[in-house]
Amino acid sequence: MNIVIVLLTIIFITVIGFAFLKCFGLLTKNGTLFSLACSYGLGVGLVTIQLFLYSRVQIPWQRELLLFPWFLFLGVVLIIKHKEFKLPDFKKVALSKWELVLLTGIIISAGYVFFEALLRPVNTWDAWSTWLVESKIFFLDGKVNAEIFNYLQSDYPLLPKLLGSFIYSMLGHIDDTVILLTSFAYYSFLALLFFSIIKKKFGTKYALLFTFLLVTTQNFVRHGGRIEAGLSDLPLGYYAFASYLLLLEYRLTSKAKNFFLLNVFLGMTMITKFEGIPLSLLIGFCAFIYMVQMRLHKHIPLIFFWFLPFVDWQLYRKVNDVGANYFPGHQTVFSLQKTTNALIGTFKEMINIKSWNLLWIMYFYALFIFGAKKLTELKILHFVVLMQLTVYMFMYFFTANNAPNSSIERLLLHIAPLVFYYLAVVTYSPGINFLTNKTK
Amino acid sequence: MRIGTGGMYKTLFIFWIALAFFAVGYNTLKIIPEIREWVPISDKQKREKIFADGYTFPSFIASSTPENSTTLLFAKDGMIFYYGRYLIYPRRLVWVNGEKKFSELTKNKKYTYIASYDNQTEINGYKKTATFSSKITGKKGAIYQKQ
Repeated sequence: MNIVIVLLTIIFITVIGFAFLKCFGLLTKNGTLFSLACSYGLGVGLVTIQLFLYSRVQIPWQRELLLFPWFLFLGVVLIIKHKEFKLPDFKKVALSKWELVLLTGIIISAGYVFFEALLRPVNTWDAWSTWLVESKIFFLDGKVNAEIFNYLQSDYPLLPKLLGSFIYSMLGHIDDTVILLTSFAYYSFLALLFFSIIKKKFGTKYALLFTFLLVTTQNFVRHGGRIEAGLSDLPLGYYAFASYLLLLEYRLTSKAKNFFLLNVFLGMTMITKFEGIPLSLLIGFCAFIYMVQMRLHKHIPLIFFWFLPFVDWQLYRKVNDVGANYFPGHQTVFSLQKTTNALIGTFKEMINIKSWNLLWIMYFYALFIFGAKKLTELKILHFVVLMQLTVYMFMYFFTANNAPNSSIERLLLHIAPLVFYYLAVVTYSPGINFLTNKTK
Repeated sequence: MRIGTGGMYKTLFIFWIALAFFAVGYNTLKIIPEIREWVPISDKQKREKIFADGYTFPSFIASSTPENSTTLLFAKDGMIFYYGRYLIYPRRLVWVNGEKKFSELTKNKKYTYIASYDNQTEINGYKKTATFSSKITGKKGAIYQKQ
């Protein structure tokens, strides 16, 4: 029964996100699949904001009180925008044998991730010591209790924690096994996001091929539900990738509503994990440069939506005397041995075929032989990926208690979807015709 | 595309696709042994298997102390504290892992309850109220209450 409730909650969260997009006329020309893929992440942001607001104004986290405003919202949106609610027409899709093989591989992989998520209670250190401990405490206390941050010595952002609390609120009790279905949801919606954008650019067959490569990458499989699921790294990868795609959309259209949605996603990237701060700033910086270049100064106020969640969280911490715990625990140090370990450790992870198949090997090889192919979208992608890697390297070089052996496989997950996108774009043209003919 | 580099790229790419199919097969084959290993056992048994005393000792603390109490935990193993903190809330834990600090904290009798894991100790002003013996690791522990 718990499985059904959590799955229904995930669907409900997605519907909320989808209704929000329709309500504000966002992503109207990007196809239903792309909108649905963005909807889950957006819905998560909306329900977590709801919990935080309820807590601030002392409204109890009762299921009815949480659901009522959304049902009201959905009802209003359905009445006003009912013509825009269309599901993809699956009847038109006729797949070749090769496409069916790929689709079967994708479904088997997703099925395996689902199965793994439900096999054991959550057991990764980060998952219970950082994220779910607060999900549980907030749920039991019925609010975000500021005093608890100092008890736990935690100042990580709230999005993954409040998602857990929302799921527990819907369940009415704690179940730290089915909660891993939220990771499965990020895995699935990331795959859908990736598929929808590649399909739009290069056709179904090619999109299925690259989605197959993505979903079979063991590190995604593990973080989607298996034992290593840390609950926040895959979401950060999802939000960063969605933000990048929305940046491309903004560059294509220069529309304020696309810039608004980009800022909403950048805001969520920032409050998913500390590593989301530089990632968000890098993508946001590229958007800002474009805005200045195109003299779109009237869009500047929309940046408010980017920084609002993070600034609000910082103000909340200040007002409630929530101490800084992460950065004081990672003081500045430097040694040659630490630097060497960081470089060797990261290199070893990148050539670890068991975790990544050939993703990173192909990325650097493709970067060497194809470069950015003079495409601005790829230059931006390299800027984000390589700068974020540099941030991680500097973190290893200069901060105590940080080394690649305990974290690099998780950190690379934040930028891996972008790398998949790059490879999908550059592989299309170099003449792998046996894959790309008759694709459209 | 430069001649030569594209061929190498194509070869690597085909190898990648082969690896991906291998991963699907490998994961599928793992399902049966995983079902045999995990499905027949209860949630409690799963936690004992994964966390060992990291699960059983905090459960022992929970059964020996009242809800909303704060217990001073004397243990060298961080897992006992961190998983315990997660597991037994609203009971709270304060962790100490060194003898010197532990002696300092027990002197002023600030805590009503003390839990000691894998440390044989007598504490002045506290009475041993429950004992723990791990079936998994054989390690011992106890709960002490302020007199």
